[in-house]
Amino acid sequence: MIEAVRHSLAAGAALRVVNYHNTPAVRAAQFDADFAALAERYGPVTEDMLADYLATGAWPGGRPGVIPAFYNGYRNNFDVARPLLEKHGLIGWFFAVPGFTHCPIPDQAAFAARRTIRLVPDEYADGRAALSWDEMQQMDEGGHVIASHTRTHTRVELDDSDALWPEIVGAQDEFAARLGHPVRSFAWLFGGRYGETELADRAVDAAGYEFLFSNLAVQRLPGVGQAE
Amino acid sequence: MDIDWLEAEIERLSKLPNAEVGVPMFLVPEDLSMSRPPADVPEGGTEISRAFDEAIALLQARRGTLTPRDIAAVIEVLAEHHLLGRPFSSIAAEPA
Repeated sequence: MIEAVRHSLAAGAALRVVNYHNTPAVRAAQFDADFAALAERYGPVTEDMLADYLATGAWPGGRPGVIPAFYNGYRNNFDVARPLLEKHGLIGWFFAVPGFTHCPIPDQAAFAARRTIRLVPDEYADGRAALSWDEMQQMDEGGHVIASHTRTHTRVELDDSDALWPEIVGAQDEFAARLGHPVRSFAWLFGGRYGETELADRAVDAAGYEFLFSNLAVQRLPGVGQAE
Repeated sequence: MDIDWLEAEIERLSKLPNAEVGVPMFLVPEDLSMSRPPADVPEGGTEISRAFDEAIALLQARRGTLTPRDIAAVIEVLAEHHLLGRPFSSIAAEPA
């Protein structure tokens, strides 16, 4: 992997990403400053633009892109980050967790605690910490990217088909049902690239994802080009 | 770059409240859906690829075989300093 990183940096091809999780209102000024600085240098990235970039090595329009990525599907991403992104002309990539969204509000804190989803204490009076489907639909229709970050944010063994399939394929089924279309991008919980574990690759293929985000890479998956 | 600075930066970044702040990263782009020749690389690389080589060599000398987590930590340090040409984590403290 070291050689792949070196080559992408030497070729000026590495993809620029800024990873976020919670975006609480108390830090809104910081996010505003972040997005303003990013937008001075870089442009927004849609999934079509990413596909073009991965295929050609050039950004459509010539301006290099940046992906602000938001993990776990927090309500504060919709309330705080989304309007600031739009103020600065950036597109957010929201890697959501359908099981968190489905979870009844009184149970969300316990759900999060069991699945390494950190919450901001006492952030909302009604106790809802997860993005709602309505909020995801609004962002989807507003030009942001809704993506999959597994179904329940539970770490599973990569050779455990019974656990792996619902996390990868089951998540896609829920996005398709609630958004009216499948999502194109998927991010693992803990890293792995496509090509490392056959069973996980098969599940990613079955779910129909186009892009796989892992700790060190973004991959456009095989089979995508044949379907076009 | 020296190893003490690099280790200190890795340590500093690991202590940021990452659950509530942005963490810049560079990711390797790969298109597995088609076969495209590798992108041209300028002779001698670029400033950031040379910094990456130097950091990896320094860390290997101190820690031995590097884990994927070590490599990610090096990239986080580079992204912190190179994404905007100034430390990303200091942006919020800049005068408006």
